Amino acid sequence: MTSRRDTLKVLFLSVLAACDSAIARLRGERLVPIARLDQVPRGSAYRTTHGDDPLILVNVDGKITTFLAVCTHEGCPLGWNPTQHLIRCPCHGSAFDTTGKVVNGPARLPLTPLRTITERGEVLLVEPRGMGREAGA
Amino acid sequence: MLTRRLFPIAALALLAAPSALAAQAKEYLYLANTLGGDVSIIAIPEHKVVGTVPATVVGNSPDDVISTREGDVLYISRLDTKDVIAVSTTTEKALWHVDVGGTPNHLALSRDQRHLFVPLYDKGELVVVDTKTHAILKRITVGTSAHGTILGPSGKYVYVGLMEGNQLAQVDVATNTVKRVIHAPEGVRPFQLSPDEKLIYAQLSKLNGFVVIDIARDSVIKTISMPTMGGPAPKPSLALSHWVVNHGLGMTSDGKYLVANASLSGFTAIYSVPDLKLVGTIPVGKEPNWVVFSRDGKYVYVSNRRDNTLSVISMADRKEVTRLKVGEFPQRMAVATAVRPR
Repeated sequence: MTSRRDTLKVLFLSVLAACDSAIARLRGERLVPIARLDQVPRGSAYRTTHGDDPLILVNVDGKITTFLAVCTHEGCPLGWNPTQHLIRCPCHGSAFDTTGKVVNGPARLPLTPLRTITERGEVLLVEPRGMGREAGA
Repeated sequence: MLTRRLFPIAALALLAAPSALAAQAKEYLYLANTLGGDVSIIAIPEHKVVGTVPATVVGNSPDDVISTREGDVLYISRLDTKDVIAVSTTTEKALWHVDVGGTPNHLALSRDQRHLFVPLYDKGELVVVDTKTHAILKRITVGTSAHGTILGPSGKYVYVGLMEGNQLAQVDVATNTVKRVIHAPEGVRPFQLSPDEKLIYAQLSKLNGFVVIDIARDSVIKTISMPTMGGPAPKPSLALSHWVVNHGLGMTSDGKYLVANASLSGFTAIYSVPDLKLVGTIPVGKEPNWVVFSRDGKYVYVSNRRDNTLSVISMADRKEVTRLKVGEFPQRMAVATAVRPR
């Protein structure tokens, strides 16, 4: 049974998200849907792309974090190991935890987090400038 | 009475069994899809995807796949779990695995196939695994970021390219010790040896081409620049999600041709050996990564890891015959004559 406190929490978070998206829109930032919430269940990750940029969304205890899924070692697209709960590089085996921190080299730098807003069952990417264009390489 | 009558038939059937088995043996290309965690199986020479060794068997980011000469076993290095698995091509199930204690990259087998050489990128070691007992026999320190491994044509030495160490280690197979260090101008990526084992052809991280290294003199004697096909010379950059210009170099078994991928430019080039004249360029898929040949040398296979395809190239026509859709992020490949499960 949902308690009154839980209902208020959900309501509060929805208001916050609505404020977030409203502020982003007022700032002229572009919001791009990148996933449905049901595509990123708790404890899992979802890989998608925005233009030519690979993205990875991870859901830890209901909180979704989005990263540019590009290895900071050599730029390879990243995958998800569901057993290890780690973001892994298919080129040289670098591993990142769900906060983007390196847990196995050769990568030395953490992953680049991306700002997202959850609204009406969708995860919206607040598009950073220059992102989402088709790469020419 | 009946037993006596049936005996010759049974004996004949038994005699025929091995040849029947041999008749089923067929050449296949096994292609490891690192992000998919599986291995695509492509029939040769039909060039059709006929099966997959699934992620439930492989999984955990397969980095390299090599085959025994007989084609009965595949050895697969796995990045995520830091191990090597042996997979039967007859059952397409795992036979055994060995934890190697570091991130394994490109594998090689000794001539007698008793020893499997496993370079560990994060440990700077070459691990020697006994393929019969599955025990680790030795850990040889070879230098920073041990990456590619090739058994030389003589079978006496195994060569290990160091991706960040800017050199190669020549390891004596009889003693499992480093005999010689061969220097390179920068990070060593895929490489090949000349049939007389005097020269190394090596792609380097930031070079749009490859170098020829004289092993005895320990020096670069020639640098080959890849053509740019009318465009600007590709440059490595993280912004473009690449830090290596070219990846994938293969030599035909007769030692007459070298096939080199232009990974950022999306083509592969054929050079005659030893004069290293460019004899052909073939457009392939996006970010070609690896090169292997069919057993008869008629076809060269190039895995294109950014668009999940395999380019099949006719060596005689120097043209792409077909491009097949395979698994996610296809990289390393092995050709094996195998009997697949029914």
